[in-house]
Amino acid sequence: MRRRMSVAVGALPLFLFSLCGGLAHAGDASKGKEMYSLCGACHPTDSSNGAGPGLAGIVGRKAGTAAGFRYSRAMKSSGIIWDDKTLDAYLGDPQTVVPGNVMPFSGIADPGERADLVEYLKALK
Amino acid sequence: MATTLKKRTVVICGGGLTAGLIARQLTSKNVDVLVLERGYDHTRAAEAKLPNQRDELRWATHAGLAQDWAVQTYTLRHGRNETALPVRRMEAFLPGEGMGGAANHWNGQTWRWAEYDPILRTRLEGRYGRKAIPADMPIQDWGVTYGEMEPYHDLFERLFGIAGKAGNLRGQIQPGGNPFEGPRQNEYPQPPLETTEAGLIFTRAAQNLGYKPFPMAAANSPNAYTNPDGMKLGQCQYCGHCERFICEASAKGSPEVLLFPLLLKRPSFELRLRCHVVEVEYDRQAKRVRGVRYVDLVTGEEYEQPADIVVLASFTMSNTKYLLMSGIGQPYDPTNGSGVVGKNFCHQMMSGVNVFFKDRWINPFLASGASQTCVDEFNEDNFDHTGLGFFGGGYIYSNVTNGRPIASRLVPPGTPAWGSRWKQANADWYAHSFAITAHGSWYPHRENYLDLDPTYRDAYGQPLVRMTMDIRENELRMSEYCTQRAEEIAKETGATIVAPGTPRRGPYDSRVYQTTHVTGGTIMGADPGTSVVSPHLQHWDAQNLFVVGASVYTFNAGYNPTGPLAALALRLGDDVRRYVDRPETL
Repeated sequence: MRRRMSVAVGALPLFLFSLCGGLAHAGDASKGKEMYSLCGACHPTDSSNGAGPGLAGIVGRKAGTAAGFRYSRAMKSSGIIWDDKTLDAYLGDPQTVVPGNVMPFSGIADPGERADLVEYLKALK
Repeated sequence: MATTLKKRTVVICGGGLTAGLIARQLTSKNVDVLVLERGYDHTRAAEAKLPNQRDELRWATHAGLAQDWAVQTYTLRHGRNETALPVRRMEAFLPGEGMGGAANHWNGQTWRWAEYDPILRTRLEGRYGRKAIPADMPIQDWGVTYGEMEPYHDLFERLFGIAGKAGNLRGQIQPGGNPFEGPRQNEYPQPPLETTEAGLIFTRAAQNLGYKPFPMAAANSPNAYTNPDGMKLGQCQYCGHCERFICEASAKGSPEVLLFPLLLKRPSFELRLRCHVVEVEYDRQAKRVRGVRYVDLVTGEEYEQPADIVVLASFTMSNTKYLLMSGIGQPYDPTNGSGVVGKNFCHQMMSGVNVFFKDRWINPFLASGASQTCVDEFNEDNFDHTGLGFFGGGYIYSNVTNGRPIASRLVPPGTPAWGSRWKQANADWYAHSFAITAHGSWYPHRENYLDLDPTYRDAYGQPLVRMTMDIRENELRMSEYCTQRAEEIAKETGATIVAPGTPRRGPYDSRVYQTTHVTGGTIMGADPGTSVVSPHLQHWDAQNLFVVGASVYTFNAGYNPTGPLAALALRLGDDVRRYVDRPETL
C-alpha cells in the first residue's frame, strides 16, 4: 500500500512538470540523438535486444512487450503505454515511476534534455 | 581418435582480455583468428542481469564466475620437503571462466606500472649496488621499456574508457594526479569517478602527513562513453557490484562489452566456446608448434586444430601448464636454478587497518570497483630502501569497493564473532567504517615456483599444476613496513576507533583472498637462458608460439597487473601481424 502511494505522489508532479516543460520547450531530435549516448550501451535503436530492449517503435508500444526481451515483473505489470508524457516521466525518475524495474539508470534531471531525447525516440521506427 | 580440422592462421588459447585485444589488432587487418575458450558466453545470462546479478552468495561467496574447482584445481605445498595437497576450494585468487575471462569479475582498478618497473633489476642495482639484491631473489628486466609500451597503454585506456587524473603529462607533474606515474602522452579519456566519503577522509589525512593523494584510475565509466571502435559503455551507478560480478549497466570496461561484440562481426574472427585446450603440439626438431589439441566440452570429442601461429592467452596457471604438458622449454629446477618454465611464481600482499567513525557516514554500498583514493609514496622503489632489509612496497588507499551484506562487515576489535553483541556492532558500524589497505608487491624467490604435480590429476586426466610457495622474509618485512604506514594514515584520520594493523603473515593460505594477480611461470626477458619468451613474447624454443598474460611478468609489483598486461597484448597483436607477413624471430 505504501509503495503504491509513493508512485502516485512521486509520479504526479513529474507529469505536471513535463507538461509545462513540453509546452515551453519543443524537443530537438538531433540533440536527443546525442543524449542517446546515455542509453546506447544497453538499448539498440532497432528491434534487436541488447542488455536492454531495442527501442524501434517504442512510442505507442505497451511497456514490457518488446519481442524476445525478458522484462521485470514491475515493468510487465506497469500498464504504461509509452508516449511523450510517460516517457518523459519515466526518464526523469525511473524508479519512482515504475518501482522495482531493473533498468540501472538514475534518470535525467533536465526537462529540456528529456524532451530532446523523447523527440529522438519518436523517430525510432 | 582426435579429428583433424582445417588449418587456421592464428589460434588463441583462452578467450579473455588479452585474447580480445590481440584479436582486435589482427582482425582489423583481416588476419584469420580462432579463439578457443573453455567457458561459455555470460552476456545477458542470470549473472549479467538484475535481479540475479546481485546474488552475493552465488557470484561472490561461491565465486560463480571463477574456474570450477571440481574440474581443475591446483596443489599447494610450502616447501620442497612437503607433499603438496590439492586445494579443494580456492579462495586466494580467482581465475575466470567464459568469454571475457577474469576481466568479467574484475574491479576495474587500472594502473600503469612505474616507469622503472620493466628495468627493475637495473634500477635496484644502480641505486643500491649489485650486492644489495639477495641471491635467492631472481628478479630480472623485461627486455622492453615503458616508452615502448606507452602508446599501447594509451590505446588501451581509450578503448576501455579509463577514468582518472594524469600525474605526469609528458614529464610535467600534474596537481591532483599520481606524481610517481610514468610520463604519459595524453590525459585519461574520462575524468575521475566521484570521490567517496572514505576517500575524502583519506585525502585529508594523507595530505596532513605530506603525501599526494589521487583518485585511482578506473575502468568503471563515470559517464556514457563511446570508444574509438564505436563500442559503448553505460554510466556507472555506484552500486558496489564490480568485483566478482558482471556489470548490470554495461559500465565496466570488459571484453564482453567492448571487444567480443565487435570481433564477432568481423569476417576473419571465430570464437569457439566450451573448448578446453589440453596440449600444444610441438615439433622439437623444427622448433615449431603445429597447432593445439582440444576437447569439445559439449560432445566430449577431441580435435586437433592445426595453426600457423599459436598464442597462449590463458590465466597464469594455464599458460604455464600448457608449456609443461607439451614439453616446450626446460622446466625450472630450484635445486640448481636451471630451466625456466614455472620460474618466478609470485602473488601479492594485502594488509591494512580498519577505521571506525561514530559521526561520519561511509555508506560502503555506494561505491564502484575503483572509486578509491590512493597514495603511491610507499610503492615499489618510489622510496629509499637503504637499510630497510627488503625491496618492494605497495600503494595505500581507502579501500571501499562495496557494502555487500555477507562480506562487508567490519566490527571493532574485541567484538565477539557471533551473538547479540556481534549483531549490535554490525548495526552500529556497518555504515561508519572502512579499511585503509596496502596493496603490496611480491618479488620472486628461488623456492617459489610451478611444476606438474606427481600425484593429483584433473577431470581430463592431466596432472594438476603444483604451487611450491610461501611468503618469504622479503615480503613479510615489506608488509610490516607498509602496514605501519597505513596505520599512521589511519591515526591521522581522527577515527573514533583505529583497529590494530594486520600485516600479512605466513604461511601462505589458499583460503584467504588476496588478489587475482598471480604472476610468472612463463617469464619474459632478453636472455634465452633465464626467460621463456623474448621481449616480443615469442617463445625462445618455438618461433611460431607466443605467450601473453601476467605469466610473463618477472615479478609482481604493488600495482594491479591489468594495465601492462593489456599494453603487452595490444603490442603482441601488432607483432603477430608482422609475423604473419614475414615469419622470423622478432
